[in-house]
Amino acid sequence: MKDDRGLISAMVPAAARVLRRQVEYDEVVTLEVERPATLTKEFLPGQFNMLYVFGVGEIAVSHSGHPFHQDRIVHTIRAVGKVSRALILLKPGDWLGIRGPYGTPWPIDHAKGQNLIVVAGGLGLAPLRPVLYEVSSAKDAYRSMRLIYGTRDPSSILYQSQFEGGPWAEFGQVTVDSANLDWQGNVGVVTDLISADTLDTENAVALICGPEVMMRFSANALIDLGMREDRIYVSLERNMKCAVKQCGRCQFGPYFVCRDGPVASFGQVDKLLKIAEL
Amino acid sequence: MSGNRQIGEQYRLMKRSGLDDLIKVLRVLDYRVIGPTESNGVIEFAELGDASELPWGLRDEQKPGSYSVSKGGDRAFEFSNGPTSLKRYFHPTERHLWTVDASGGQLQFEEARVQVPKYAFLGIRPCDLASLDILDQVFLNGVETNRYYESCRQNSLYVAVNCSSAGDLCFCASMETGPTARSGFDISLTELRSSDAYRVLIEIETDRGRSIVNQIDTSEAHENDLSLAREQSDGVARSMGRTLHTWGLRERLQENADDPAWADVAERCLTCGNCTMVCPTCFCTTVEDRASSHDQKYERWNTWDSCFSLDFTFVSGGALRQSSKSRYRQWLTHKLSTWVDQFGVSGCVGCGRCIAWCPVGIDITEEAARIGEPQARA
Ligand SMILES: Cc1cc2nc3c(=O)[nH]c(=O)nc-3n(C[C@H](O)[C@H](O)[C@H](O)COP(=O)(O)OP(=O)(O)OC[C@H]3O[C@@H](n4cnc5c(N)ncnc54)[C@H](O)[C@@H]3O)c2cc1C
Ligand code: SF4
Ligand code: SF4
Repeated sequence: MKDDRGLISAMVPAAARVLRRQVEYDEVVTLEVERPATLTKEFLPGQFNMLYVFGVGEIAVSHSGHPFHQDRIVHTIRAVGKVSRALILLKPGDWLGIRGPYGTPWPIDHAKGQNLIVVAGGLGLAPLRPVLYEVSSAKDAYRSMRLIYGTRDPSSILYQSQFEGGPWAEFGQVTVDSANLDWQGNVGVVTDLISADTLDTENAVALICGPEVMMRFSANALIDLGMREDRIYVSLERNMKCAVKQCGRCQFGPYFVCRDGPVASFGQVDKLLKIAEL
Repeated sequence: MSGNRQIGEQYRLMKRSGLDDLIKVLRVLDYRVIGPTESNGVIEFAELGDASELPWGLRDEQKPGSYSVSKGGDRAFEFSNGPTSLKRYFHPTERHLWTVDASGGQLQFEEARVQVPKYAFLGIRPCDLASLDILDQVFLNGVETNRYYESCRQNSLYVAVNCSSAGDLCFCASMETGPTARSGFDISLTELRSSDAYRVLIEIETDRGRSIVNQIDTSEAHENDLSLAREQSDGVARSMGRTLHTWGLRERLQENADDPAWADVAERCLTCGNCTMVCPTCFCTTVEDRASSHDQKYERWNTWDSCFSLDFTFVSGGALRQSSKSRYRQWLTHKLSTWVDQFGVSGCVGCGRCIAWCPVGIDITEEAARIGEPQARA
């Protein structure tokens, strides 16, 4: 009975206080949280944290904040169930538990000097926002920059102020699945906007995040335009409890999504995505 | 008389009373001695008080979906293995991770303080020993060290026992994990089959092991004792009840996710998860939040789970692996194929437990042989 020190360290969250709560649209909230001193590692765009709500549970949520402002931790959450709903109800001053960052980042350095194409569907824009922040402040580092964002309808455009008249206006295009007559913009799926007319796919790197089918269709549309599958990146989602490659749940073929992902090249996962119920 | 030449200090011989001494010495050294013992018709690992509790003169008979213990022989390690492996000692079925306290208005997380027992495992089969090497890669993976596992591994003492007969469901020879322990133990024992009185050949691997052996009554071992042990081992390897052809298996399983043989096994599989519970290397878990007696506190526990449970792959909208086919496929493919991608070795040590304890007798060696091999299905 020699060892009686604390034994599980990194599975223990750090307590953190909510500083700001912003309702994005129906059921979607962005929380800004004070970064606890014990979370010493800075996040990279694409990485995620495990967020814990007292007595409710713990879930994986991507960083959606500015990578140059690491004093705050920012997450955008959609209420889909028990924990996510509890998270969106937190108010400034409330406490939650955080551990992370975990997972692989978007390869934005790899895209320097090239044409960067970002394709997002629905809430999939959240894990890409850190990329957009970083790229907007260093535009010269890229040959060109395009953002294609598809969402359900005009009332569910995430980070809307960034688009119309905002910093993403010059490179971003929004399309909605359906809209009433007030909407002047594009109607249709994101793949409608993946065309040779608007995108330079030579020397390009593409980052895609959204529902799995949307990512597959978008990647295939880019491949049809001549892109190589190892220059296209997607972000995967699987059930995960530990985020440190020990609970076994996030396995996706040979990969652990918490560690080998969430960001993976399409070349790596294309075959696996085609296998039903993998 | 070269055959009777004395051999190195690494080997010793002991009589039956040596096992009594060994357990006594280990207990004096404050170890909790864990070894096989019979209870309710099953030979399981449990804490031992003395050597009489070993399953002397008992053997087990294992067939797909069946297990029984009967009298036979006069040795302590005549059986092959029971449903419990060593996994639960290092990776307990449930483990307290932390407690969170909200009573002060803010949240306070406190890591669980867990006492790590000091175990001496007596009678570890080579396959089970190999399973610990495999679990090391999972829990000491360089991403996060499971410190309970690590401490327990370091605190423990390992007395292996080499197999002197093969079970009907064993295939350690295919997996290259047995029937003789090669490393990872302090002492290994081989019960010698000969017309002489009961004798055990001891192999000493570590200094710790040596100092323990020095405290028990042993005699010099000779070359013919060692060759008898080797002959036994060769005989066991030749008489394995099962074979698994591992050549090309990794690719064959991953590349044949659509093979109709998956649907065939899924018709038999109950998705009960027994195979994952008895498997010495299956490590998957879930977490549970338990309200503590104090209503401002919650405890987080880590508990065993199985890839056969529907919840395992739950994401909003439902489980990703709905069909039993997809769940069996995940299990088998992980064990024998993607494990190699992840950890560089197979996740199967060939112990045969999953075959015996499957209620419908599904045999991993047969199922693996069918995938991607249409002619094997005739
Ligand atoms: C790497 C990663 C990044 C993510 N980033 C975001 C993000 O930025 N914003 C956001 O709103 N959501 C994100 N998610 C999804 C989020 O984790 C799920 O919506 C959440 O787990 C749902 O939990 P719940 O308790 O609210 O729902 P319930 O339906 O009650 O789910 C019960 C449990 O199932 C598991 N689970 C359910 N859905 C998922 C899922 N999609 N992924 C993983 N586990 C799941 C969780 O353990 C959850 O507690 C991310 C998921 C992953 C894996
Ligand atoms: S898969 Fe079966 S035979 Fe292989 S180690 Fe696990 S229980 Fe033993
Ligand atoms: S293979 Fe056998 S033990 Fe495993 S889940 Fe299916 S029925 Fe249960």
